[in-house]
Amino acid sequence: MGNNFICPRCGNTNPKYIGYIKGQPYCRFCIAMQGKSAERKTDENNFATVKKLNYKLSEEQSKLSNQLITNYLNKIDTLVNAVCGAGKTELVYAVIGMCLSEGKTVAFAVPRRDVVIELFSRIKGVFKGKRVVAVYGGHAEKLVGDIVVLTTHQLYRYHQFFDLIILDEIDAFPFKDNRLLNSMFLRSIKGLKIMMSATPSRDILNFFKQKDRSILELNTRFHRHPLPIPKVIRKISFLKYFYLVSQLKKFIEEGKKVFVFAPTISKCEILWFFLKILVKNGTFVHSKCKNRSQKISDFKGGKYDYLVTTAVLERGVTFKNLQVVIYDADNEIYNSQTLIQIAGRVGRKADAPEGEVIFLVNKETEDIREALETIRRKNKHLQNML
Amino acid sequence: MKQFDERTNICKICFEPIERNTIHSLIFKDPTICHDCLIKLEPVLNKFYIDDVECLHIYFYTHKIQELLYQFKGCYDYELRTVFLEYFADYLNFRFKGYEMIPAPSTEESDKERGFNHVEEMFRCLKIKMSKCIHKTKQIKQADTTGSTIKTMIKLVKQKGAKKVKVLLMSKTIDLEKRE
Repeated sequence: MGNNFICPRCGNTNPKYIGYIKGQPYCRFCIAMQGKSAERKTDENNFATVKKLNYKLSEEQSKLSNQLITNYLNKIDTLVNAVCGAGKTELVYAVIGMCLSEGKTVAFAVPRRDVVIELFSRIKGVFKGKRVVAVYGGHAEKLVGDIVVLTTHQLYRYHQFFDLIILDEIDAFPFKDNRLLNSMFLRSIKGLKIMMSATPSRDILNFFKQKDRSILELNTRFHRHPLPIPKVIRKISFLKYFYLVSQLKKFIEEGKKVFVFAPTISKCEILWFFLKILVKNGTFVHSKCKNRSQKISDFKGGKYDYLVTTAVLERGVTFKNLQVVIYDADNEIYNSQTLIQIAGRVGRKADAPEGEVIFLVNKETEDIREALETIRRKNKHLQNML
Repeated sequence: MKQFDERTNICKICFEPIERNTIHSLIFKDPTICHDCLIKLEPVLNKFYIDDVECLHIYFYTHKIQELLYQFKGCYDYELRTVFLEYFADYLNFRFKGYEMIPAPSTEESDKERGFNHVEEMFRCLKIKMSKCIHKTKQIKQADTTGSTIKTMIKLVKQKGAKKVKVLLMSKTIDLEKRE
């Protein structure tokens, strides 16, 4: 019976993912994207012009922004390779505005849900009078707008729908190396794509080196300060803990906020359990926390001094005057790209461009060395320019 | 590409092939889910009472069960119909020998949209006679409080003169007893 069934949704042909309902084959690989809650949209017309946008760009940023517009007009797919804190989001505002004034639909897709929520309020602030819609898990009542900000998972709701799609943080979990999400992404596009990352993988770089595609690079942050170089501190087992306590106390005395990254959820909780004895006024956050967004906004509001977290806050978040400690940075879950991303949380605001990044390790791994080298290389580029 | 062998069973939940020639496969013939997935479902087989009626539930309504149940009835994953009960089919057949089964009803519109009735399909793997004699009208409202459907059904069945009533639940919310 029908062993040559191809799923129209995700293109799956593997017979082990094919189920039968009353003799009819159906795909079980993308089963989470079927059913009664899976409402789909294919097309809608609307025309309106965009008023003047209210944001500032640095010299390099505006150069890149113009390049993006040229690429858009020439119908070229683009990869933006810019360092953490370069202001990638601001770069694409001009293209979005351009696209909107032609009456087209734009999507801004990010793998992480927390980032979508933050991005939504930012974009809504810039494009006033436009219908901006946020779509993420558990929040999908409204699907159509001029700008749709969504998680990559929600792209399955759209079929050849977007004229321009901007995909940020392409190297982040869960989008990275996920065949299902990738095919959903390609399926949702009608027009062009812009992909953005601070740490693109070699495959993606090679893909964009082909004809009719272009790579734009931005190696400086918008405030023109160098990226903070991480300090690697080697300590044995429990000495790491005491060193962490002393550093935390020092930072808190100086009135700085601290993120402490732990490799796993259980380690995050254990570390917080011990830290709360000696250092007061902190909390922990991980993907299984139910009141996670509440805790993060409390931290933003200044209720807590430090936050023990897993990789959920590794990217896309901006806090003022932030210091970062990675506990067990030699753990195998951290590759060089994650380390660079985490280090890039520091010094993102123009009025607090510097900060400290500490890697607490038992031993230096290859990934740590690679991350340090990459950051130094980008800083050298900045020195040459100044 | 390696030819797909239809004889090897593939777990309906984790899609891994189910190992043959193990003690597990000796006890259970042709299972549709693997042992690891069964353990993740955390079967309990507990007894409790609602208004002096004996109830048996197989699972608690855990996150995993919730997810699978949604995939089954919300995403229309028909293949999951045997997953919940097949391991306990023999035991349940023995325990409910001589009984007649009345599935809890759902509205006809949602059945039509889904293409199948999830309760019927789930309990079909038992060899107990099933009679679909209770229908959901608009008077029987969606379960406002936990267990209201069960209570209404018990009342109806007793009114019609059933001698002995027992309730079999696939999963039970953890705080159902506390509310009683």
